[in-house]
Amino acid sequence: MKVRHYLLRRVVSLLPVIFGVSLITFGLMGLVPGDPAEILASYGKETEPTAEEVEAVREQLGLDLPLPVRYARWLGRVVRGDLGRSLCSGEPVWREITVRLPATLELTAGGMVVGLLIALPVGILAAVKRDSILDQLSRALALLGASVPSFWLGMVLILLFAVRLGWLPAMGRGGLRHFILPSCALGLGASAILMRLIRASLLEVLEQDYIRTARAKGLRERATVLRHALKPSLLPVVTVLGLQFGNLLGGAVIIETIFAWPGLGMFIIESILARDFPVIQGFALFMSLVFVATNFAVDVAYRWLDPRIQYGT
Amino acid sequence: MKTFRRIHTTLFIIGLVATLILVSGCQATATTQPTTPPEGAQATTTPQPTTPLKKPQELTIGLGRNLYYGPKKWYFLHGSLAVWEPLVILDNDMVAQPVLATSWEMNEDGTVWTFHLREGVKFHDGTPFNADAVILNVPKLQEEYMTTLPNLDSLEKVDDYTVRFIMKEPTPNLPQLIAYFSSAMISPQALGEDGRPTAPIGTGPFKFVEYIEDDSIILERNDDYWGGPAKLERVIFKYIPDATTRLAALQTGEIDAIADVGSLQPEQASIVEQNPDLVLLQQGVATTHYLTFNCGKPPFDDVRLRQAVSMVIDRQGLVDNTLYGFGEPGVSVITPRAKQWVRTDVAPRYDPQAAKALAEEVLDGERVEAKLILHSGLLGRWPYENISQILQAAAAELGIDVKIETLEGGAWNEALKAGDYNLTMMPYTLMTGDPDFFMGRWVWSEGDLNQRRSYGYANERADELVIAAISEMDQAVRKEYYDELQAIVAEEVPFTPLYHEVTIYATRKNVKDLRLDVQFKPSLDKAYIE
Repeated sequence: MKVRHYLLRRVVSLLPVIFGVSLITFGLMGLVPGDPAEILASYGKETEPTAEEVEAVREQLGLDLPLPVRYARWLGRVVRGDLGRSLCSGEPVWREITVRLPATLELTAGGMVVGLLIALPVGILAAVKRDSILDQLSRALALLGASVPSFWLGMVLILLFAVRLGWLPAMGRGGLRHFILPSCALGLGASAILMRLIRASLLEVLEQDYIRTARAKGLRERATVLRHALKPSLLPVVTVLGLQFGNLLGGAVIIETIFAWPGLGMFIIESILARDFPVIQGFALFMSLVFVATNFAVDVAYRWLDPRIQYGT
Repeated sequence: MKTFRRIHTTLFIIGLVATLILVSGCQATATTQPTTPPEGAQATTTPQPTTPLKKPQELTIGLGRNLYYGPKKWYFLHGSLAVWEPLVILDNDMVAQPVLATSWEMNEDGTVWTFHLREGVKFHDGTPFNADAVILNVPKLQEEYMTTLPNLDSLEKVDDYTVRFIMKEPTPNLPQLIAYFSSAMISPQALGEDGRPTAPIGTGPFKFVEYIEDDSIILERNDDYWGGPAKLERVIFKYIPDATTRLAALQTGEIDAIADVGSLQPEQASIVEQNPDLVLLQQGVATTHYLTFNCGKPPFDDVRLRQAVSMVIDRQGLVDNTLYGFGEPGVSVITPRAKQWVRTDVAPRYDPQAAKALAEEVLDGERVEAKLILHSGLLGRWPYENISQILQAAAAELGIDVKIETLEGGAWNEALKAGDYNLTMMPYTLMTGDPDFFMGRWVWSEGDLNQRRSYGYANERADELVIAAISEMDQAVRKEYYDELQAIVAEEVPFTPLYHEVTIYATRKNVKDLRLDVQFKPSLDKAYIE
């Protein structure tokens, strides 16, 4: 099948996914306890709103209409490319998302880089020196990395590197220095899984016939591992990496709050607490797009890693 | 094995390089100043203030909330930023004091109030502040503040610097009602077609420069300020949601102060006190924390059980143990900050023996259950969890088995509305400094919060007093009414004050004269860096 056809199919299959996601989010928001009009009326106020104020908000935002009607209206606007405006700030939802997106992507990418930077060398080493002390150490490291919650790690990093040693800033987004601690807090957990996966996958490949052939030819071990075994062993790693990207985006919510990193995660939590429906809806839509795009990128990477894979059903 | 060693070495180098990249980032900058001003900080060359100060006059304040609201709100920014100013503000005893209005007087029956405006004041965009600006601003704020200005009929311009507020009913406390947020003045040039502000252009000592989403608000000194220019040249409000990170940033010097209500936790006080570079400060604020009863259903429809629960609470112990001493044991339902109104001789008594006797009288050896619901969003800011556990233990002695349930904010509101609770805890701030703002909403049987939260409290005499006090012109008589109301509430305990909030805040040692007031507004006009 041609790549173009494949792309077309992917895009078409995207529509029901997005429709489903939006329907579920809308339904869930309808089930969430609490009166959104009341919560919105008290936004940014020092005192409790009066009953009149609450009713005014309800009417103004059409929150008195039944849920299906509100959904239909929202969908009608989205189809025309209008995600609406935030109920809290009054800014367009699209702008609210895109203005914070770079910060979150930056952090997620940082987490991925840190994760790979640790996982690749350690994972390969552990596979090559199987059952050695190094392998055992890497196993302990992975266990630790997978069990330590990222918020705790974040706090410890701040206390150690910012408060005690004074090497790095404790919070905020700025230059490279601001970037290091949150990326590490985010990436260390991800490295644990990747590390184990790389080891297992590489071990499997190292037992293949063609590796034995390569060794028999007298190829040096380094070349065998790095040039012949590594690339095919990365196939499952890429799948998990794609999934990890989603995980990291989610994990970024916590890390962003701890490091006062002004990204989407911090923003969406506040929007949910404030019952800012257009923002929540827009965000869900946007995130499903990101996930679909990541999966697509993973598929493309497969082809590069293993040319035998064909785009098809 | 030699080959393996070589691989080993290569990989080791990769790892080493990776570590070096990380570490070099730190070392390269380890020698530089801990506080690096953000880009563009040096760009502004403003004339020196009257007393020449050597250090760059830039102050970064860390906060646990975002004070930027945007065009959806009439006042655009929080008042703490000192960008806009009100006509009137409350002093630390919660009495109205002049800001943009210099004086005021009312007619005999309190239906017409005349305000004289400060002359020679300009908004940041150069537009003069005058009667026309007031008239454009106030009706819009009234829409936002139906609670505080329900009686406003119209505004009249008398001359360029005099306006009249025409009220529908006698309003003896109007200056209190329009204090601070309610009379925020935004430049008429910045008001859009629908009358909403499109930009935060005020008359205050600081001008709004930039808002970075969820990150910071940047302000710059207004050199033409009518009260004389501030000493600080630049102020940055940095939003740091996590309390631990906030304190860490103060310790590292990334921020110069944590100055807002609830931004520094009582349990963090000792860390600040032990650090020679930091200064710990405190200020009593107008927020009171209440334990409220659902008087509409058993067991607390019986006044004796409410009295018993109130008497079994050791409020001083509560402040010492759960707040590390940073609080004031509950005195009256009216905050002690409203000095002229609070009645101190009705303070709840701590008497476990009497409480037990009262409970015994009602329960006669039986045990009853009571559901205490907590708002999850409030738990992170105040030690309600600890308090409710202490209460649970104390109430068990009386024969009341308290079940604690924590609900998400929306669900909590719904449970209150439906009356599906026996006890709850909540804060309330007497924003106007006038007792009607509490009595008219909590105590009056038709009060909006009394009804919406199913307090189920109704007392004929209290209703009479609330109504009479609203339109009473003689402040001494009003005082008598509110004294009697406070006594009634103390006797019948539909709700009881647990403690009055004391906000703690902290600055770096070189920050001088930065103080919070009763409404936690920082003194940006006076502060400077030494």
